Amino acid sequence: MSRLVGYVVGFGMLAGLVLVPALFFGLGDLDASYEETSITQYDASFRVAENGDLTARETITVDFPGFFKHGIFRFWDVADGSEPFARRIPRDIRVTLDGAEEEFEMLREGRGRYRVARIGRESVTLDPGLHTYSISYTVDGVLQPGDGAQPTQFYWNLIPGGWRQTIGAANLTVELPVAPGRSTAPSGRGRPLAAPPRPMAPRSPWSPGRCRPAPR
Amino acid sequence: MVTGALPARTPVTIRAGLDLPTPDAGDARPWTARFDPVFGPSVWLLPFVAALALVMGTGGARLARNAREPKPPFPLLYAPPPGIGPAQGAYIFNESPDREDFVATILYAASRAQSPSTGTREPGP
Repeated sequence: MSRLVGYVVGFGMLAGLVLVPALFFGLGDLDASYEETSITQYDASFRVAENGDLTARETITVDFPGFFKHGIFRFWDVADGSEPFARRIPRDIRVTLDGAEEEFEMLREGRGRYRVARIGRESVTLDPGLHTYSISYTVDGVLQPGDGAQPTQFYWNLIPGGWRQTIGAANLTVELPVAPGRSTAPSGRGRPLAAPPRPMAPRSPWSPGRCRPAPR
Repeated sequence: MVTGALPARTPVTIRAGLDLPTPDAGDARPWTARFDPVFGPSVWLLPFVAALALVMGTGGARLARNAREPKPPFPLLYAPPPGIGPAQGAYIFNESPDREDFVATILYAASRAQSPSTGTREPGP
């Protein structure tokens, strides 16, 4: 009997140790203090295929005020809060800087939660001023079951919450396989969206209330 | 769609309902993302590692069992129980007699001052 208790306790301790990495998931050195660069213009187009695959191209104009910067970081969150069992892993990533192919290195942060592209070359520092990055990638199967009105929904951070820079203005285009339902795409087709209400706490999500299907 | 200025770390989210059967998620696992560092990056790797762990665990348990001596049912004796001669004890133990048993029997009988052949008391020298 005492041996059985020993086995159970030992197994419990082992299971606890094995599960320790789950406690630290998502933690890590993601918080940078002051970010001197800023994004003046953020243009992104997203195309969702009928099988759910997402193809995205982001054209980001970054203002580098000083010397000694090598590039930028692009974070992708692998976890999806609205679809806990799905992983959103980007693939076929391509980056250009001012029209020319740019090197980047893929890293993992937050104990595997974030895929990070460290864009730029160690040996090259950028001239101060505006530089335009174009980042294209694909994420497999991003559509998820709808919340009642429609069987399926596209629920996506068009601008992810990981950008350390402020964004001057964004122009986002989404092309969906079918026209979005009325309940989730209210009126105001084609009108520009207002800025989010100010003041806004950092990291607070803001969903635009208006959306229009891209021209087919 | 167009936005105005956005503070740092501000996501812009879209939720659009679609009249379309939901396709399979591109990468889905039976566990949430939090357990990825524990269960690994793919669904097929986990059963493989679990099976490997089970096989190695079973092997280890067997080895550990070999290293443990089973508890004897009765205490260790340095002589046969009373009334049983050494050769009798050895025969019960080994199921065959040998030379040592024969010598032991003679010595045992001598210690009891009996002749092993006749069992009668002999005069001493």
